[in-house]
Amino acid sequence: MSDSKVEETAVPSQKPIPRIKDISMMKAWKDSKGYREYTLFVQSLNRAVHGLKNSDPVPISPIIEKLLIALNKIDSFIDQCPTKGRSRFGDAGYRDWHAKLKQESEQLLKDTLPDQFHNYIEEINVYLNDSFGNSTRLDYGTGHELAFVLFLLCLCKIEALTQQDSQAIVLKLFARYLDLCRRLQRTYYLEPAGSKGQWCLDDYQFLPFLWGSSQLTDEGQIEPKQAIDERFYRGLSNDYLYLGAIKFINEVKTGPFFEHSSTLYDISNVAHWSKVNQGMIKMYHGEVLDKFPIAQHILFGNLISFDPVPKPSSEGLFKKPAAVTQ
Amino acid sequence: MNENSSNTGGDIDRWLEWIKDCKYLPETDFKQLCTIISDIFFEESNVQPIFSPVTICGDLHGQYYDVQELYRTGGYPPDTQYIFMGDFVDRGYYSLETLTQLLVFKAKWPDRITLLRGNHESRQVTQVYGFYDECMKKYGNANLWRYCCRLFDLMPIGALIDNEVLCIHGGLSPDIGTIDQMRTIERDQEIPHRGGFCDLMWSDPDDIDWWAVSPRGAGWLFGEKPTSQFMHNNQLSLICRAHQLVQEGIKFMFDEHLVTVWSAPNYCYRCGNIAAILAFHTATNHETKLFNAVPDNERVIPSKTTTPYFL
Repeated sequence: MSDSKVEETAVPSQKPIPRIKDISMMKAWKDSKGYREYTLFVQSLNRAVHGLKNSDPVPISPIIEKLLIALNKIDSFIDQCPTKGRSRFGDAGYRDWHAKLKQESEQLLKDTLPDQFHNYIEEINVYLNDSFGNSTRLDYGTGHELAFVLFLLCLCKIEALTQQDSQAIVLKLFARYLDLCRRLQRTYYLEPAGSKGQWCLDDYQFLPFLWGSSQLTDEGQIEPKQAIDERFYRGLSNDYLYLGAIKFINEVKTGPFFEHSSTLYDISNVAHWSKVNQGMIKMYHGEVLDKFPIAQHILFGNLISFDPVPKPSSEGLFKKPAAVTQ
Repeated sequence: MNENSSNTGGDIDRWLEWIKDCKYLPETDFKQLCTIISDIFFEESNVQPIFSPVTICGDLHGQYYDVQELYRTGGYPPDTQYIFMGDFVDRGYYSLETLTQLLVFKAKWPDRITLLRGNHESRQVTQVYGFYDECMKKYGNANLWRYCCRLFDLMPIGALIDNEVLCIHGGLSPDIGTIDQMRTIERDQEIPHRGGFCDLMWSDPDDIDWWAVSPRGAGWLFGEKPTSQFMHNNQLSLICRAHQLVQEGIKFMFDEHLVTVWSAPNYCYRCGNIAAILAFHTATNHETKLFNAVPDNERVIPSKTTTPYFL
């Protein structure tokens, strides 16, 4: 199983499944190719958006454009799936939306990706379907956000997306994904999955704060302490993921910010965005990737592999697994 | 048991003053408080017998300022007798202060405050939903969280008002048909992942006939039939439980035989719900009292601290 080239040609597409069954398997997860590649992917995108606004002109490839159209289409499913009323958290109308997603997503990917990638769609589609919350529990959390980024990583591994797309992946695709998720969260009142309340960064997302703090590094105008006060950046929340995320919190939460978002409140005390960004990377590992309650739901197949990293290698992120030979 | 006397009595009075301002106790004081409470919990039954008048409360989830509104609405102990049906901690910003205040009240007036266990009074759940992080942040170590978890293990499971109203955090279990069976549970343990004890902490009522799998992944959904069967077998007139957010604070089901009481207003700072408590003048004569979240300007802004990841 060490030669992924054989795996890849023999089984071009494999339905991803959960592999982390109990806490003892967390070590294997951290030593896996999937973990390593995901971590490098997040960091590479982090570097790519350093100092950039969402609206800055960046190269947009035809596939990125088509992916944006696909997300618009998925968004429009919300209009077709009305709410049904809720008892506690979670509106059962979400189940209709999710069923619609499952029904349409494969065809959407076929319409989006050129023919040469169609062999991978069955595998990639599983990550897309897992990206918007859980239809049984009616919840959404950082595990679903992670699934979407795994979906993007898959697209990079098969080279549907390339290094040149890095900026657009975050500033356009991920930003569009966030808008869609927020609409879902609000419309269907999705429960924050495994939320620590105000002891976590946010009820639903993590990466807008991680990549968003990179956007603000060396930006010059807004200091971390101003980020929690909208008066300082009115109009800029569409341009920076971090500020947009805080704006959304203020839209859905009531009560004092220091209580409902105490971690963000404390982070606003950090002097420089570079320090915030470094902290976010550490915190993403500590609170998301390395947490069993989240990791147990991660799906592994051929593209996102649970196999151990063989040895330190110089493999590129934007290569097909077929090209990864030792 | 009556008011504690002498030395500890003096400490308890000092703690009562301290906690009024939403302050948590020094670690050594908290440890001493835990010792007092352990002794009290040891003496209590799995299903504590209580006599009306008594006011019952649902989930609090660390909303200290809103809990003060609860006392303003329902009256302060010892004048008002209370049963709190669990979920004191997690999610809110002031779990530690909320729990400390309840424990100090319990130490001062053990016969006037009954603290039942909820599904959040557990090691596993508090590590996921915030109380562990809060203790680490406020005390810089996990000692205090460990003391609390030890106390959680000793908390009673249910209360029985005038022999006819059962109070329990979650709901019924297919494995438990009688209150006598509840009395035989070895409660001094972490809440198990399945089985009767787990179900009592995790189950929810639903508009179904019998039983169904719970979307929570623990406990069951139970319908009207097992409820009326259980009530008949145990000669109950009402089951009170908490565990589920209710927008209106209180919700009666199953022909008024079961009631959900929710006491955390504007839950998670976003739900916009009202909170309720239910005052029993007698077992059959009860009155709902509603209250809202305390406005922002009545809360004190804490100073900023640095999260370890950002040092």
